[in-house]
Amino acid sequence: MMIPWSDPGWHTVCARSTLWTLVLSLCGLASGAGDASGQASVSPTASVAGLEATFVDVEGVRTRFYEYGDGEPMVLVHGGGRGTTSSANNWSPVIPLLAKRFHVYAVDKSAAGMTGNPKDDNDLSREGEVKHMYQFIQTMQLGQVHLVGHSSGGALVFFLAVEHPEIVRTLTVVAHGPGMPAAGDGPSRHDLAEEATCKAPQTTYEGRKCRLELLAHTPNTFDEEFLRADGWMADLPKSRQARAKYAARGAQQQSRPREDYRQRMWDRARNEGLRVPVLIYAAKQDTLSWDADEPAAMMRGELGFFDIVGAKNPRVKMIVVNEAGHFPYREHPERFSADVTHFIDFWNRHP
Amino acid sequence: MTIPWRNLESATGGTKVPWVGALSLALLVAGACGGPDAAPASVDGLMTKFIDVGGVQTRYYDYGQGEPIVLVHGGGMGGASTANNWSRNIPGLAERFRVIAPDRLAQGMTGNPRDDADFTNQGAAKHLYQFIQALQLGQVHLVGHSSGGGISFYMALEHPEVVKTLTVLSAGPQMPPAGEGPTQFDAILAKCPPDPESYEHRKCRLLALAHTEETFPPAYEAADEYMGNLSKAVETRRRMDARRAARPGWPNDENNAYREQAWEKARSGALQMPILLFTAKQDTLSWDAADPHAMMRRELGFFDIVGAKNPRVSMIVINEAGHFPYREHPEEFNADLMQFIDFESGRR
Repeated sequence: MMIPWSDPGWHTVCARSTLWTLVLSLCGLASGAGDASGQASVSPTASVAGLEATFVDVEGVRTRFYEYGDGEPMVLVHGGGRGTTSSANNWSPVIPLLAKRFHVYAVDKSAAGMTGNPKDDNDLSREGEVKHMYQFIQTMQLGQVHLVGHSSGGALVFFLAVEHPEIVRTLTVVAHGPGMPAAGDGPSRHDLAEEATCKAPQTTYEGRKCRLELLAHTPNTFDEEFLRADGWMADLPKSRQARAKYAARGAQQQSRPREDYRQRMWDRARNEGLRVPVLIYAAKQDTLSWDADEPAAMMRGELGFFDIVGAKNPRVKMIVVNEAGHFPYREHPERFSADVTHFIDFWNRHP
Repeated sequence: MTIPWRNLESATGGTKVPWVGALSLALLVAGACGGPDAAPASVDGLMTKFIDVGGVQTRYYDYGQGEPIVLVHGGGMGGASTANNWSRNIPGLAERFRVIAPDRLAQGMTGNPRDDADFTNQGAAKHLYQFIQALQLGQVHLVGHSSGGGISFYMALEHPEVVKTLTVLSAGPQMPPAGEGPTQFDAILAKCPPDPESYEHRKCRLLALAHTEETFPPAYEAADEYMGNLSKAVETRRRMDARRAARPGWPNDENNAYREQAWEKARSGALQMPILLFTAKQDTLSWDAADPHAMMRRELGFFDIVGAKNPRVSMIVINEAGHFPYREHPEEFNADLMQFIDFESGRR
């Protein structure tokens, strides 16, 4: 089923598609048949780039993931999410590259991609996301893993490493994210661009899609297949429900609980010390890292995060690459894979 | 070992020379000439070589086989820092590359320029290029630390055809400032003994730049001290002082103008080789005293200059290291440098 956004009759098509999806999902199947016009369809598992995702039950939550390669287990955690954009599909360019050396698991977060919503609405929170990812790792019996998280997924893996250091071999945090201090005192360059360009609110798919495309530095970071699959997943009933619930929670609560959790995690990292090797991977043209008052990105958020995770941990390193925005692993996949592999290899040789 | 008067007399053609003086003279001469006897100036058992570069006797270390890596130390003319800085890196890198570490013009055991006008960054860059040509190295992986990073940057701009990759280590004078006010380093330096020529001051300065007490062991300091007191080093300082007195603003005005030109050229894409900036989070030279931690403003500003039209620029920041990260974490630095070279070579 496809979502023809520009088709004036899309509401009807959409409603019909939604009903079908609901029926077929209940049967544990989702058919990806093309529509009458013969336009390209989305695979039943919303898979892209010739990869094939699969599912596992994680404490009652149907969880989608990609699994490729042999070697030490590596878990890739995407950003965005919460019923809108981004899923494990984000990692498609690097999964085959990293799979040459690692047993790669790229997982849809709780309430994101094709992964189901948590049973308890209170788990629609950072702690809930962290819990779900931890439970995935336990369910799959992965033991100690190399954690790699991007953007809000970077925050997730950081929190996970603080809460459960025993399952973390190395930690890689990619690009600026909510787990980091701010880029500056005022808005970022991205904030200004988003305000000027993205008219739909950030609680809608349209708004998030606009944000996604603004954050990429290289043209064609997101191809048609990616965007089709992304849109299809965002239109699933469970995704709509998640968006509605997040919006409701946002209206009810201040962001206080979220900041308190993060502050607790920062304090623990500073005081107890993260003992695993940490790689902070950033790009010079990431507009989220760029205080609007500065002529160029000065990576203040990442450097502040460096101070937190590096307070009692000598094995912290930061890499900044050029000509890349918020998705350096999509924009320079070979470089990214080589850097992460080298980082892991080095600390394996020097435990 | 005693040298009988009579034997020495006949050996020196009848001149009476006290034997203690003769032995000292022999040692001094041997020391100045190099080879395994250049022990006072060498560290960690490294063997010294010398080559004439445009009339300037130039000391260097040369180990390993393969593609050449040229390591360019920092510091100022007539002061501290020499090729000895690289003593902890040479063995590891030499397993896969030919590693060459010269003393820069008017530093270490390398002689002074013939022309006083060459006591500048431009003069040092020229000497470095001539050294590379004298050894017939062809294309090199150029690695410069601190002011040596500046010299390497300038040389790469003047002669890109001999630079395969460029690595610039730590903050250097070729970079924009750390902030509006003094750096953390300035604050610490202010507490050091005032006379910049004194050993105490130099030691204090080095400790202010190093992150650990083991960065510069006593043997290193002794070699540095020895070289700093050579007559040619005294001569460097004398000649530079004289020129400074005769030309107000020299050499800073000239160095600054040269740097501005270099930035212009770099911003417009003159440097297209892969460039790695390698630095450390506790480098007080990159730490505006108003900030709680170093924010690497100098390196990031330099990134913008060399990266303006060059996609193959990247930066690495490591932890628990000061201004000499390659000495404080030699294995990590060596591994990252070789990874950078290997990755960029693979793309050709």
